[in-house]
Amino acid sequence: MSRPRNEALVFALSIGLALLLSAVPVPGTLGFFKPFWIALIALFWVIEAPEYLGLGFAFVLGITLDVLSGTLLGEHALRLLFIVFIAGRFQRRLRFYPIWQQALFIFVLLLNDRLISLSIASLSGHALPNYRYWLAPLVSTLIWPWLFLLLDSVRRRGRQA
Amino acid sequence: MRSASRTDSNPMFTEASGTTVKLVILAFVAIGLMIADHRGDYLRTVRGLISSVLYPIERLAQVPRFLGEQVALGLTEQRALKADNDALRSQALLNQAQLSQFAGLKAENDRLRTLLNARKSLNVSGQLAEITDLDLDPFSHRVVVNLGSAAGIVAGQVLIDDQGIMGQIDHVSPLSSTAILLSDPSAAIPVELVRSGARSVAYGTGDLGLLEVRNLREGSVIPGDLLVSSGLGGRFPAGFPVAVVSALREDQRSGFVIALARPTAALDRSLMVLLLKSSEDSKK
Repeated sequence: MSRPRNEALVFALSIGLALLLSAVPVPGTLGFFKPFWIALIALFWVIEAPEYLGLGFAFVLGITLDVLSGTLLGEHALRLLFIVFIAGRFQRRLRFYPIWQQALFIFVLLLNDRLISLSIASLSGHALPNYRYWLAPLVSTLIWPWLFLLLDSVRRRGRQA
Repeated sequence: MRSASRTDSNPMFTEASGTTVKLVILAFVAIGLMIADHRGDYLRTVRGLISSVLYPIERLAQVPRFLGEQVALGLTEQRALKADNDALRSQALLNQAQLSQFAGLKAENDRLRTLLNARKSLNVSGQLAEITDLDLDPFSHRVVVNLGSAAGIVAGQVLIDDQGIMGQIDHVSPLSSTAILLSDPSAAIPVELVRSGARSVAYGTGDLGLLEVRNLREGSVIPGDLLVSSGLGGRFPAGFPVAVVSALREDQRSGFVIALARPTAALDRSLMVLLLKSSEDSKK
C-alpha cells in the first residue's frame, strides 16, 4: 500500500526540484547552457512510469514555467506537450533502450523542441538567435544519463521502503 | 493469450488516438493563449495570480545566490574590508565634491529654465528594488524584480543601476514585476551623443553587451562616445547614460553609419536597481 505513495512522493519532489532549478538565476552567458530541467524530469517519468505524467499535467507544468520565466503564456506548455506526446509514443521502446541510446533520442527530441521554440519566436517577431542557442540541448543530453541513474535509484529505494 | 493480446490491442489503439485528440486540443489552447498574450493585456491578471502562487518557489530559488553571498562575505578578510572601506570613503568624498559642483550647476540651470519659462527639470526619485531572476532567452532579455503593484510599481517605470539605464518595467504582478532590458531585441531607446549632440535610437540586439545605433551621419560619431538618453518620446527620462560607442560600421545601403555600443549599466550583474518614478507619477 505504501509503495505507490512513496513513489508519488518521489514524483512530486522531483517536479518541485525541477521547477526550482529552472527558477534559479544563472549569471550572464551561462544562461544559454541552462538545461531544460522540467523536460528532462518529465521525460524520466514518461519513460519509467507514464501513469504519473499525461498531457494535461505537461500543459499545467508548461504554464507554470511560462509564468516563472516570463515567457509568452503557452510557449513552454506547447513545447512540453510535444515532448511528452512524442516520448509517450515511443515509451515502450525507449524503456528498453540502453542509456546512451535514450540520450540520443532525447537529443533529437530537444533539437526538435528548439525548432518549435524558434518558430514561435519568429512568429512573434523576435530576432533569430546565434549558435549558442543550440548548445542547451547538448548540455541537457549530457546530463540525462546521470539524472536518469539518480532518479532511478531514488525511485527504487522509495519502492523498497 | 493470443486472443487476449489482440483484444487488448484494440482499446490500446483507441487510447492512443485519444491522446492525439488531447494533444491537438491542448496545443490549440496553448497557441490561443500565446496569441492572446502576444496581442494584448488580457492575461495580465491570470499571470499575476499564478505568479503570486509561485512566489515561494521564486523566493526559494534565490537561496543558492544568498548562500553564495554569505560564504563570500564570511571569506572576506578584515584587511580586505578595511581596504574596501578606505577606497569607498575616498570615493564618497570625491562624489560629494562633484555633487556640490552639480548642485551649483543645477541651481544655475533652474534659473535659466525659469528665465526661459520652461518646464522644471524632473526630480529623480525612485524605489530601490532587488533583481530576483534573470531570463536570458536569446529572444527576450528580461529580469524580475521583487517589487510589484503592492509597492506601487506601474508598467513603464525605468530601471537604472549606478552606471546607467538598464531597462523598463513591462509586466506588473502584485509582488513582483518584469522588466525588459535595453539589450532585448524588441527594446529601443532614444539617445543623444554627448560630444556631437546627434540624436538617434539605440536598439537591443539580443546580445547583453551590444546595442545598435542606426542612421548616424558620418563623422558625427567616434568610438568612445557616450550616449545618453535624449528623453524624446517621453518614455525614458533625459540625460541618463545609456551606452558607450565601441565600434562603427558603414551601412552600404543608406550611406549612414551604424554605431555598436556597449551599455554602461551592468545588465547581467547588477542586483540592486532603482525604479524611477516617472514625472507624471510624481505629479499625481
